Amino acid sequence: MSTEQDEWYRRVAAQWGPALQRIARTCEADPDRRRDVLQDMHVAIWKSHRLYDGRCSERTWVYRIATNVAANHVNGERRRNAPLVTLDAAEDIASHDTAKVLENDLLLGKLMKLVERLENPDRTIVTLYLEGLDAAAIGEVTGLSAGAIATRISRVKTLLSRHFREAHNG
Amino acid sequence: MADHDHDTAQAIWARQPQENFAMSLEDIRTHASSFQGRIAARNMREHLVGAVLIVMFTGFAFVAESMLARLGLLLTSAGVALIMWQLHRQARAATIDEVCLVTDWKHFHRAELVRQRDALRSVWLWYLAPLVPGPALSWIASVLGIVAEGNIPAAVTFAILGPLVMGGVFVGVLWLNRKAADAIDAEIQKLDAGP
Repeated sequence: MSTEQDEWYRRVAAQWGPALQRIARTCEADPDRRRDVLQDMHVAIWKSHRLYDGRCSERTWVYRIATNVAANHVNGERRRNAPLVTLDAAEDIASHDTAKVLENDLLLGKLMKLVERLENPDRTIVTLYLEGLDAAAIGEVTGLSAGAIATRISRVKTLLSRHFREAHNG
Repeated sequence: MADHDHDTAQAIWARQPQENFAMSLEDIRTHASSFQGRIAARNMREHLVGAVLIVMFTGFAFVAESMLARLGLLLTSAGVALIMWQLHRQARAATIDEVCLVTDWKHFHRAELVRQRDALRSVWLWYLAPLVPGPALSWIASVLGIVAEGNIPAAVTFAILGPLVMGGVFVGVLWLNRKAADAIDAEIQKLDAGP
């Protein structure tokens, strides 16, 4: 039996499914475990329908749930994963991992390496920035102050510049 | 740095290859109503390990030589059961309902960190204390058994070494958990201070 909840979920999943996959990829490298994370995101979104009152946009709502599921996964797996780093320490990641990344996916590989190694809230902010959200929207999703986000985004831009330079220089 | 580079980074990010993933509404309902997906599966694994230990200690109790040793093994089983329950209650990951209820990432993340920190700080109460009565009785039963055999030096040695080894393990567990709790606490303070 199709309900309003089901219809809402179908529409939201169709619209934001690719974003959910990208966010799941930032918190789990193993394909099987990532599928579990993705399933949790979809179930959480379906269940959240009764709580969604339209006070924020659907995009904000979906990203909130997705980043919460991702944070929950990272918290649960923190002992298993490699140590996480801040944006400052992330400066070195690009150089060290360059050789390991396939040439044709160099930039995406570097971006992924960068995001995977970041600790929170940097990881969430960078992910949402790459998703195309502006500072105000990131603030809505994360609950962090606009100033803090602006500082982070500025650092992300510097990091991305470096990634681009390295990619162009081979 | 040109702005178009950032646009390009976002475009590359958005063009990531998509995996073949689909969940039917039936799958969604199954996951949502019967258990909490991956979290439930993980809890199930933990409970399975606990169940094996409980069966093992209870089995040993049936073949124990003295009533005291039997009681010690049964209390150990009860202690493991208590730990399994507490593990589920305190150290579990957030449920899907909890993921949905919070307003934003910061509040959710902070609440999760606080819960994990508190669980680690109180590990002596819910993880170590339940393991004291059973092994202590088993140890006393063993010492009395050795005394009954007339081997007093061995009994004295065992009486001294037993608590020392167990105490050492407990102190080690406490120290490791304390260290982990402090690391989480630092993370909470950093979050409160703002990035």
